[in-house]
Amino acid sequence: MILKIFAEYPPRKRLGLVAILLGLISIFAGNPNGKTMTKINAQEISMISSKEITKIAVDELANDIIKSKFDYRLIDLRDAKDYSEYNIPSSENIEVDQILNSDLERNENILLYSDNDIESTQAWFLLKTQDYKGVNVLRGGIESWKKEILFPACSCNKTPTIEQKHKHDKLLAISKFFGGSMNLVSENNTDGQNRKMPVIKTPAKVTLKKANGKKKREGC
Amino acid sequence: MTAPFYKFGFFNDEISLIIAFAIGIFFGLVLEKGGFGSARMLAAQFYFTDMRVFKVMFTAIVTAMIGLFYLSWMGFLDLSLVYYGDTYLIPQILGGLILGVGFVVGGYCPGTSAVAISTGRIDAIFYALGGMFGILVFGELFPYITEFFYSTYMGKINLPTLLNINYGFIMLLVILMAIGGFTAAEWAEKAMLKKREGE
Amino acid sequence: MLNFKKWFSHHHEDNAMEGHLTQKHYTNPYLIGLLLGIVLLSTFVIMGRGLGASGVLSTTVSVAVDKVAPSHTENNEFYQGYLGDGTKSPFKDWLTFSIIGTVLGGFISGAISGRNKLMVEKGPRVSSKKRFLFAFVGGSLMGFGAKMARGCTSGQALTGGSLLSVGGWAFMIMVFVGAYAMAYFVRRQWT
Repeated sequence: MILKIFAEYPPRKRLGLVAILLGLISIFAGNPNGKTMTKINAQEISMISSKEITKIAVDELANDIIKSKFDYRLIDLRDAKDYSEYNIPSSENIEVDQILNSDLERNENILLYSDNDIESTQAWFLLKTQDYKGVNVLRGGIESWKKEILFPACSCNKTPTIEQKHKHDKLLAISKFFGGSMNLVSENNTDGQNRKMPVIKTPAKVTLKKANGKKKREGC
Repeated sequence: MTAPFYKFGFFNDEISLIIAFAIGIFFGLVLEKGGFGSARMLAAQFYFTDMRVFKVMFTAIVTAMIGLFYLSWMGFLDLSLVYYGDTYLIPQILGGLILGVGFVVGGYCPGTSAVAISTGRIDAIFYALGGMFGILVFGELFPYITEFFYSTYMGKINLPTLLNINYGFIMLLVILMAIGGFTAAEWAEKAMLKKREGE
Repeated sequence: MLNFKKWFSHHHEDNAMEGHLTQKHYTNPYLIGLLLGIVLLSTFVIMGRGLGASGVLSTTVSVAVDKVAPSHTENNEFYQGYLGDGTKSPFKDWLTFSIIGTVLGGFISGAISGRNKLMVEKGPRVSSKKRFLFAFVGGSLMGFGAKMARGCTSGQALTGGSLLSVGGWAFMIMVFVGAYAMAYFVRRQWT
């Protein structure tokens, strides 16, 4: 019977009614602006987490920074105090509970790090539930960064092979670049772990501005 | 979320220009079909004889608005990646006023003038030239009005956020207002017709 | 056989101002609005942006000024915004290509409907010369206002309006206010 009444209206009035109906429904359909409620497909996430959690190793990151080639946003998830003491050059500080309120976008490449892997994985999950596409995690976090980049262990034998010397020089150069120093103690000595963190002096070559600065005009 | 396609890297900049061209064709086609290639038809809006400017604009806005909401609700479109400009309230109010005056004096708006030129309206050419002149004046005055130009900045803000009202509710209000407006427009057209027939 | 001719058969806008009768020959404005809304929505879905038109005029002006007096544009933020960073032509821009398409689309539609005609749109009480003057003045006001408002009816009103942008709505309302306010004073031109 309702359909009959509906059919009697001219096309434009029908459209108007449909519009009003859609408007009424939309009141209950949620807020496209916000990110509070979300439909999580748990099955889907459990399947992708084994494959898709893209882990970046600290030496890859170090290389990228030295070459000034980064097409991602480096996010430091620790608290502000730790961040101001030391942070990896070119990183931004967003704490985990603020990650959803931040200006991160779904189509950006994002690299998360924290002290180790815990907060970065938590943040990864949060972003994944909101359908962020390009989220990656720095494997090992700051602890790995300290161990491998800033204060790399030096297996200093007296007569290194060419390959070993190469490796040694490379590690030395990288750690110098970031203001660290070679950890010249034997492996058993854990003294190196308590080294003072280097003061953040941005190595001259690192431009903190993102390379991808081409903001296209989208206005009218 | 897979849309907007361009922002998720489905195609590069070159292709986007081809798409721009294709979308433009449809845009021009629809506008001309609706009679917007004619300055007299556009101006008729402001003399109540033919209110199609209002009808077309608001039908389009309501359609797109509803489409955006539901595509976003479905998880298909990421609404946060759809661009719209920042709000600078006072400059935009003043700009709108000036443009409105220009609209009824010149008889076109930029998009419709392109359509009019393509269908041979000579006055539209003068309009476009005038447009460029106006922009030149603006560009020259810009260093002196820079502060005003950037005043009353509100950022990328939309009505539901500003008024702190449910998005869907605002949509419903817009729809009801549009329908109310259409009814009033139809009435005005009929009244105008009667008046003219009576003359 | 699908009677396409019926879809496109309208002519004579000569009486646009006068009768409801002739308007029956135009496509239903609500249908046009629906189609326009779909075009707009497609743009949002495909590109993540809306339509626009005044930007093309601005680009043209900026390039022209730059050619004539490059030192002048260097310090002017407004022109620089349209000239880009120099890596590619300012005209290799989404809006430019879409306007070219718009011109073509308008031409095609006009050709099909038989509305393509080299003529001057004006009311009966005014001369062509006067109309040209009005068009130029109106255009200038439009250009100035559009830049002030960061957009025109396509960009701010349609795009901003459907996204419920505060500035877009404020702009749109003021356009109608301004136009209605001025209509009385230029009625000679149209009626």
